[in-house]
Amino acid sequence: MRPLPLALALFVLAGAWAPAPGAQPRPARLVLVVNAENKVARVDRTTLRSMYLGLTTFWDKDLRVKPYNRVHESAAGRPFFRDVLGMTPARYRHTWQKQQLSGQGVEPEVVATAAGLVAKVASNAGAIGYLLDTEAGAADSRVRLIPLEQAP
Amino acid sequence: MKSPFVRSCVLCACLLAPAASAWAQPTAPTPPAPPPAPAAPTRQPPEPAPAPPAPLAPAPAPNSPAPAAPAPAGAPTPAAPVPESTAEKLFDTRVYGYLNSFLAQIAPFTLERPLAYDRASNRLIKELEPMGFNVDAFLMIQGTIGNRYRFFMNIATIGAGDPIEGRELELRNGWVEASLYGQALAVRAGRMYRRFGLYNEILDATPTFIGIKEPEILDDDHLMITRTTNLMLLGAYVKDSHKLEYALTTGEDERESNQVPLGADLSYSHEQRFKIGVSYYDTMGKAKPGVAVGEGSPKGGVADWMAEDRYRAIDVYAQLALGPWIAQLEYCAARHHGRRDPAALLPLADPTADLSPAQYRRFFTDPYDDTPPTEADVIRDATYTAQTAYLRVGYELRDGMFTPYLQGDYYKNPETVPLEAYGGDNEAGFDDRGRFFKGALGFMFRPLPQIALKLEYGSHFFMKWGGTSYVDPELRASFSYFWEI
Repeated sequence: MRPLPLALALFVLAGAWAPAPGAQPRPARLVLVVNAENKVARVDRTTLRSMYLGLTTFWDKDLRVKPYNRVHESAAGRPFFRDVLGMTPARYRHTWQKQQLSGQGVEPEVVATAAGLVAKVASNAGAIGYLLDTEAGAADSRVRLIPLEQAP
Repeated sequence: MKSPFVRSCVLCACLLAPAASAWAQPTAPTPPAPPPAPAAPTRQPPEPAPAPPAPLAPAPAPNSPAPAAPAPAGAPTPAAPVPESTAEKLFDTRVYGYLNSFLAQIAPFTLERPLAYDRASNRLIKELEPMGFNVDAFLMIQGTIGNRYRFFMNIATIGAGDPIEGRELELRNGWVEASLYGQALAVRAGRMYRRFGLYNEILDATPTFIGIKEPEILDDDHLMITRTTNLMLLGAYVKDSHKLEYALTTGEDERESNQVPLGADLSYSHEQRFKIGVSYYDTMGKAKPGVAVGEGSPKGGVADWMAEDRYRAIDVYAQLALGPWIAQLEYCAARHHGRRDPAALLPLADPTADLSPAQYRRFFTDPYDDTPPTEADVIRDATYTAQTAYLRVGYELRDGMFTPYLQGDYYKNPETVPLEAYGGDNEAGFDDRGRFFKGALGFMFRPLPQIALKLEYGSHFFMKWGGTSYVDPELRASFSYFWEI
């Protein structure tokens, strides 16, 4: 058999075996969790990044931002570092070390579970965290879920 | 009647009772706290098993309040936990620090350097300094008190490497900050590093630096101004990725009596990629030395032998992080109008002070010989400018795991002398003009974010002391370990 017809045959075969469009599981998306007392309606990615890097420290004149992070290599942590922070955990930690050692803030606490995160956010009016949308069931009336907006 | 002791106890109890009550009071009336959620400050807890899928809560319309509770509906979802307490922690405190070990003058890559000046033979004496070990140890406590207050304590033992004698603990920073209007306005009081240039406020973040030591502007034997102050009014305006920060400072500094020294800093940054700023300092009147001749190098901008000094310092700085490149550039100049104290200056005429002829002529009118000068021989006016600048460039590979870097420093202070014991400078003091150029090539290896190993080879250039030119290459290394409880 000649190479070209063989390649075409393999291509057609591969196409026939490929799963149909839509059969792929939808990638989980991030959803933000804030305290129920926090009346914020939306947070865009730029602001969220700014909060997690210690650049934005207040929601308004009275309420200090208290971010909680997820395990860096977890299903929730990976897309957060990749899509929101745009940096690796090592770079993120290095950035925070400089701030910690000069008294300019401390690295956000890392919480292991969705339920743990909800409990943490519920305990502080200025707290913010994130869940995968598949973990949204862990939330309760003490917190609110808000969508993660794209930067304007 | 009750004894004074009993009265004192009653008084203390009356005073402490309300304070204790306020200390214990939560920020809002809440039910008892739940068991602590699994969390760790920086350690990575094990990842839990993935939860079953649940639909995303509906997004609110723009500018409308978000839903009061999540609305996961349909599809199998885990049962929402029963709401527990919403007890808010009043204090949120973190304890951490680092150790920084140094190895200096590593043989055989380090050469002899001038250490003394022989007045009898009019020549400098060069020697090879022994390899030196040292350790700086830092303990830091930082936290928040409710929503408005923040505190920071930085306790250190600098130069704790001596195996025979321990060193004293030093309070480097201890302050409380109160927010008056969110991020826009806050006041910080205590002992703090002032905002001045790129490095002063991050002076003790050594493991994160490019380079083993801070830039020469902050080297403790030739400071341009005091590193610390006592009161800071500060704030920031943040819009998207743009940040404008300001700070106004004042404190005891080196003021003579009731002067109000003024420091100011204004900077603009875009994310963490670009930063540009300007700092200013004015003694706002007479300033006096913080230490006397014989007690070591100045603790600020005023030389040990000054009767009084008035000075202003201006500093401009920029930092650029572009891809793997990071570059820092800073220039600072301080204009001094001082009056020397003849009695304080006379010990510098002693041959043991090692002044070269050129240095001697800056202070005394009598000949450079064995005859000691009198107070009438002292030149009292000291109007001069101290300047410093540096450039640091690093190239971060693999997220900063490997960072080769290059740094160059320039410093000039015509008022300085060689020996630190006499209030001098171990670098610029060994040059007739009181200046030096310093270059270094280094490499930083960061196997973990918490560990930094640095190796650096550098030298002073264009040095001339007692009319003799020299270079003094040195190999040094450091090992930093960041820890957190």
